[in-house]
Amino acid sequence: MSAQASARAVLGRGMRAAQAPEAGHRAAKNFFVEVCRCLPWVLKNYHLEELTSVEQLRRNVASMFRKYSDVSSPEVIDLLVYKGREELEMILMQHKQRHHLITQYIHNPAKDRVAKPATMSPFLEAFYKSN
Amino acid sequence: MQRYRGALARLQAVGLQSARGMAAAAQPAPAEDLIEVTVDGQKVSVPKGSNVLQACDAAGKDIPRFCYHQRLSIAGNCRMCLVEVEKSPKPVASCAMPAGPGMVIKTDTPLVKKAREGVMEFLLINHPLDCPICDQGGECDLQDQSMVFGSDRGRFTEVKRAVADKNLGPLVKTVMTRCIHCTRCIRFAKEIAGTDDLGITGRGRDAEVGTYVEKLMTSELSGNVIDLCPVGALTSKPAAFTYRNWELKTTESVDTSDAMGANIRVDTRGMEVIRVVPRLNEDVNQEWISDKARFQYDALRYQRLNVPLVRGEKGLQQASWPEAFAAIARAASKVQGHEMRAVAGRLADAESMVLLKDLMNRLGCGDLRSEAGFADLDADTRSSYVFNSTIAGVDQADAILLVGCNPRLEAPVLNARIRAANLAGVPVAAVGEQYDLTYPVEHLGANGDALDKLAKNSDYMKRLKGAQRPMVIVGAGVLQRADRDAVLAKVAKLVEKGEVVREGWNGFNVLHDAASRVAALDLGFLPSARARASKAAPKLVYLLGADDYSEADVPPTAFVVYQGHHGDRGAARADVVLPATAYTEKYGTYVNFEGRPQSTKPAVASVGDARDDWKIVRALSEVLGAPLPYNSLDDARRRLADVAPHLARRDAVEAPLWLAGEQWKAAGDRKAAADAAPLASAIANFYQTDAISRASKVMAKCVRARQNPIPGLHAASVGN
Repeated sequence: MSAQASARAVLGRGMRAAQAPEAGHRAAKNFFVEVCRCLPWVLKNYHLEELTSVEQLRRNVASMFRKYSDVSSPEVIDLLVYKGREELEMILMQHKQRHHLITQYIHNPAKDRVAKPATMSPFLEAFYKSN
Repeated sequence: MQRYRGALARLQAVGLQSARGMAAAAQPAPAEDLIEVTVDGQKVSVPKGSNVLQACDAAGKDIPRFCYHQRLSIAGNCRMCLVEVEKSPKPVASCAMPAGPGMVIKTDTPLVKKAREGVMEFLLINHPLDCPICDQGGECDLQDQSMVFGSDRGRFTEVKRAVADKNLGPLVKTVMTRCIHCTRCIRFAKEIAGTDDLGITGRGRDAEVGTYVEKLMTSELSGNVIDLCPVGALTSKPAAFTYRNWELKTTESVDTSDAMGANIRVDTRGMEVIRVVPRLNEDVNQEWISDKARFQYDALRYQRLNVPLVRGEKGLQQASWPEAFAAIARAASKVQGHEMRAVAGRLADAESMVLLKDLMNRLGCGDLRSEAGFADLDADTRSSYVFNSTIAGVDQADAILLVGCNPRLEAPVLNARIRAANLAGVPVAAVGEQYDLTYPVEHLGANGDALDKLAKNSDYMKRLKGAQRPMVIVGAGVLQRADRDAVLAKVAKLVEKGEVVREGWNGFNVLHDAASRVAALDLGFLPSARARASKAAPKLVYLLGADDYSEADVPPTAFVVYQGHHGDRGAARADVVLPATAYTEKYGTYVNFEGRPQSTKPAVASVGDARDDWKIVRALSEVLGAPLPYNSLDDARRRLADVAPHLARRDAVEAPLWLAGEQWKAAGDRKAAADAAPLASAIANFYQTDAISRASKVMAKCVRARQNPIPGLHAASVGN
């Protein structure tokens, strides 16, 4: 019930109409700062020191924000911020487990994608797989 | 260019004209030889000499039958084909009654129905009710016809008779209580196979089909009686109790056990081949196949190569495909192109041979051979190495001369056709070793000297000249001899003097004994001039399914790559083994000895990590740094058609040009002396000729049974 109420508070028509165009950007920036403040605690609480650092984690989170840098519609920004906060709350309330964080925030999917070296033709590749 | 094209067109026209005068047999009979009969009120014209049953068939009326078979003589003893003929007091057996002009035949009157019902009731009196455990169940003529024509009850309350089962050998299982005495098997053995093994003993209720004394069937075609038997009396022994016919998936394919390319149907269930049966093709195998073609399929389960193997410290060890290729690449990097050799086996398909030829040529190697001899055969003229008269041409021949061949073992189905011609009055003569071919053969001598004598105005030569369509059949054994050129020169003289090749008829034939051979010759899978001249031993040998290679072809120090599907001699010798698919698992073009390209089709999935042959060669070419530009089967077949355009027309024979004997000139120039050894067939053991049949347990049983055809007699003869 309370979740629905807060959703209305974020996405409600009245609120958005009152916002200035740059308010959306500000909301996103504020939210990023909020996330950054939580990161040291997250690192400690989930025992992630052995895998990464606060700076690294911050960089990863920033890249996830930047993925949506071309979004300008206030409705969409509101939605993204809402979903981000939902995610943050789940992390802070320990609804997530350590490996959720490792897979989603430590390994940067963009960096993990390794381009295969083109050493063989598609035929040979298919040949090695099966008849 | 224009001039050449004109010359080529003229040559082709000559070739087509002299191709074969085969059209004559295919023409419909002239009008005066037709008679008109009425079947159920419908007028049909049938050739004179037809019987009533054939007239009914021509009218599209299906007459039930058990004993009648269009390729066997007429027995008329099952009485199932009774029809009513006007002015005849009783129903007549339509298979045994010649059709007369103006005959009025009725096939659906109450009298006919009652007659069939009565016959069916008699047949079922002594037939056991064991359909649920009978292997014929579901494809049984008696079962089907009793459903359609039988009564729903019988009046027989006495005890059914029982008949002791006969031992006909390892292939044919008998349950003689089920026999309805149609005598098809007896007539087949006597007329088609030519081994008088079977007969009837006793009369009436005591009649039994059997061999009288216990004796195994000694024909290479004995499996066909299983197809002929309309009930479950004769069934397949190796496949007994393993299937129900409605569970099987069928695939129309081609046999590779000999060079005839018999058309077969491969029946499978899941991953297993359950049986192989013939497919009707009048131009090739009619409706027969040899026992090897029918029963060697059990070998597809044994001795299979299913993973790549690389020879290491402890002998051949399992490896992955990249590892196996890497091992070959390492070995190939140490040798030069002219130090390599490729040997194609008996079962190699045309696609893999053309790709291997391309690969070897790209690597700078021209030393391409077929296993078991004639590496230096001149294959420039196609008519000098194919069966020019075609298999169907045997039916039209009026004199047949066999030179050093044993068709009974090399192509049993062809032998049955020659036998049929012989029964029709065509004299068969032979030069070479004497064999029992199941028909009388006039023996004219054993070796090359006999050919010389024949050519010198002999009595036989006059007969050969007098014949309309003479045939000379040269066996593959002759081509494998060291003195081949000398013998072929003598044959050429004989062919020329006997006018065996004349307008509209080419009677010169070569009978090959391996499925891959004609394709190899067509594609020029032969050593280049430089490779022929070279005396150096190769350092890398690529065996494409070659298990019968001669020791001289594979030096002991060479690095050997074996690509094939059965662990046999080749795989045992190899340093790297690449597992390939067998003929039931791939699309592969095989060219039979007439030059007819036909394709096998995959009936079951490939075993383990095996790959199709052409794919292996293509993949290896990339690893060796000489990638071939063929990425699909269609690409490979297009390449095949580029190299040998006649292979693009499938299932048909492209008649080769006969260059008026010019091709012999080259062979004749070499004045090699002919050896005195008799001209013999290269096949001594019919049942075990290639890697598949050698791995087959059923074929091994056949070999043992053939050594001892009358059980119990062996012990006595050993004592002598």
